[in-house]
Amino acid sequence: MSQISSEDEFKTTIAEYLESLPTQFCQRVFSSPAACLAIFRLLSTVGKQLIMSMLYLKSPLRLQEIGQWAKADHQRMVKSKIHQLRKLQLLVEEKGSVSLNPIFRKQLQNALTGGGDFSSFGIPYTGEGSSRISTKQLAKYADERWEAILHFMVGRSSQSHEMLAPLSESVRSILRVSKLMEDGSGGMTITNSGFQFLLQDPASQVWTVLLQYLKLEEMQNTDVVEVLNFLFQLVSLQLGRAYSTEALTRSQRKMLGELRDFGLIYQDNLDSKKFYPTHLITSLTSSGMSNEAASDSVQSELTKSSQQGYIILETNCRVYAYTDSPLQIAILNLFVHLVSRFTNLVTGAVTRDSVRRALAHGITADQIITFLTSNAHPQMQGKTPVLPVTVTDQIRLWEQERNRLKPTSAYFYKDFAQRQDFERVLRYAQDMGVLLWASSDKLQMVVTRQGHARIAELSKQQRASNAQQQRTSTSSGSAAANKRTN
Amino acid sequence: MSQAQESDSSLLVVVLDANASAWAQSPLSLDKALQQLVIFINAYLALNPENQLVVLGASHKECRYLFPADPSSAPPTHDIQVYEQFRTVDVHVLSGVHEMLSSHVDGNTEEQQSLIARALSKALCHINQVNQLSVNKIWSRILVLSAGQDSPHSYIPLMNTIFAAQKMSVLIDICKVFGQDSVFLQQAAEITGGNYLKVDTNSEASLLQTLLFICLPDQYTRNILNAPGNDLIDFRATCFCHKRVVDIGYVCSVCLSIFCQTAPVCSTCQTKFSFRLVKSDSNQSNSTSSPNASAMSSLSLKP
Repeated sequence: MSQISSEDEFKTTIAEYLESLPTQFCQRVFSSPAACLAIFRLLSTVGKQLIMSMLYLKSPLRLQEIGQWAKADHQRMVKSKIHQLRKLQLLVEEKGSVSLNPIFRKQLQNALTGGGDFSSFGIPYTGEGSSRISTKQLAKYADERWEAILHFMVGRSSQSHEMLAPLSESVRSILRVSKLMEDGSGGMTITNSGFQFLLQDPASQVWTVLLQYLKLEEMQNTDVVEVLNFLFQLVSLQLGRAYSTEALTRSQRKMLGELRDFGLIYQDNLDSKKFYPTHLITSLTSSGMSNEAASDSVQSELTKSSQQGYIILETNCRVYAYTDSPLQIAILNLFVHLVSRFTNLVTGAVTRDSVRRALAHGITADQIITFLTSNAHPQMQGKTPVLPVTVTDQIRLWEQERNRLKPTSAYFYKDFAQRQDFERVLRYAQDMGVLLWASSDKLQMVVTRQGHARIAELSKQQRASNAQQQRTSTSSGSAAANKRTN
Repeated sequence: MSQAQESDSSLLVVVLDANASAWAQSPLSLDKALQQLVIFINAYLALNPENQLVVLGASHKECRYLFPADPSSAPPTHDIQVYEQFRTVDVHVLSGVHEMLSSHVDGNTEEQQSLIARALSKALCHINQVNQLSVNKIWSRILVLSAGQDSPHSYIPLMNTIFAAQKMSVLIDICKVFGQDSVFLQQAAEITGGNYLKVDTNSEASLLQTLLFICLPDQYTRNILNAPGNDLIDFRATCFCHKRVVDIGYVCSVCLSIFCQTAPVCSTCQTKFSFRLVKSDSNQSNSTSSPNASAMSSLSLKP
């Protein structure tokens, strides 16, 4: 199953990355209040509440007590959240009772009360500024940079947008390392995971890139913790404010330069003493929503210009997209059969062939549907559900067409000595619900891998009765041919 | 009524009882309580960047917005130790409370009853405004940090705001810092589905722990986690004539106003009562014409 394995590689959440870090690394990441706050904001709502409830508790809690906090029908869900917190090493378990990781607790308290590491939330630039850049300009800059990368990925950068800055080597290498693109015959070409990347919303795209950046740093033997801490510091900066670069270490400055290539950071020139975070990075954990009324209006304008939906999808599968951006048209072209193009409008239809082409690229039906939903025209946003059910169902059916066979790891039993033995094992397997296939004429059966262990136990007990049984193990069920159609 | 979703943002209105004379009798000083409240507010803002916050101060004389403050006040200087979003709120709340306290030094310092009802109606107005303006569903709740006593004079406006809150599905959490249980605020929490808590003031940080544990969860989380039960709620009403809490009283058959004494004319709706019918059969009148006020009110309280 190429599809599943590629998604496994495709780590989209920072949480998974943090889980994979060794303990000492985690402890060092937790040593900054900004990092703790950023990590805290990435948790689920229930997880956050559990942390907050325990933040100022002095004594450790017994696991059962926490279980009692949950209502009866949500017990399992809360338990899984606790497990998740433990995997992130935020909770420490000792003899059946749990408490918060002491370093994390201390620094999160510091974040709330204002103590601890002074510079963890960034040092604002206080020197004379030659030109103050507005949030609008920042947004324009960031969007241009980011779109240039996406343009490059869909392969339109050279023809239509020559005025965009060419991509730097660091961006190319990240695209290469992340397997979003690979070196082909005529330069770099986009991969299947690259197609999936294009359909994500900007925030997850930024996370993906940052994670790949971390991986790249890891390969170059840079101190990942320093990179992570700086990243979390950047995430908690205020949009539209200038910050000083003076206190930064050398590797942090290098990182600043590389993030600038992605449009996450703005600097006047290479050795400027100040930098501005752009909305791409500040919106990762905080919305950039400032309490000042002035920047509020800018924020809403921002979201209007960059995130307003433009796609209308009709029940007859026709698509009308109000856009003139070559990038958006190229993305639509991944799964829509485009028919005609006007100055501000593209029309086309979602057809079986166009969707199957997308599926062949490794894009899933859910990704198509999420993309259409999040970019739906405001007139469609008011409806529930946003997209016509007929079309979403059809897209899912087209996906299922490709997955008619489901491989399961299994064991194949044959050559039973007696019919009695066969029937006893058959009944046992049926009772446990592990039977996949059986033929009483040929005295053969296939059970799942989980079932095999229990059946082996049964046969061990019955060994006294001298039941002979041969078994051949096949990793993927041999009864059902393990080939995918088409 | 739709269920709260995990992604929904919330709006919290904190009503702070800023009555200096009431706090003077509290074992927990106002300064310490404020410190803990500020940490709680920061924790709330940390939960979700989309979370909105309003802080109202209520004293015996006035009720004013502490946050968001009017833009005319000077912008706070940037403090690098604190996350900026927190910093702005903290500075406004602390300076606002001190301003309120200092402006009432000369006033009647004996009064321990704050204008909670006025603050609640202000809060509901704000919530309504936010709901009208926003496209997405915003779940709102109110937290009252109360130190003073009930003011019987504001029974009617208070009950009106409580029922309005219930209709708008706004939760009201009550945190009583010290003193007697507040009969009215207990009802407010019970009717709107919020929590009523009396803080154990013996240990210093217990206010913060209580707030974080019980008042921090939003509507979505409250569906999942247990809340402490409210065991005994005093549902008694106050009479409209002398503002006394009554067990048994007289109820106007037209407007349901409650009185502790008989009167020929209802002072609320000006209905003239006809006593002749009542007097014709005095035995029966005792059981029928003076209905049990608490029974009546509890009927109307439980829709």
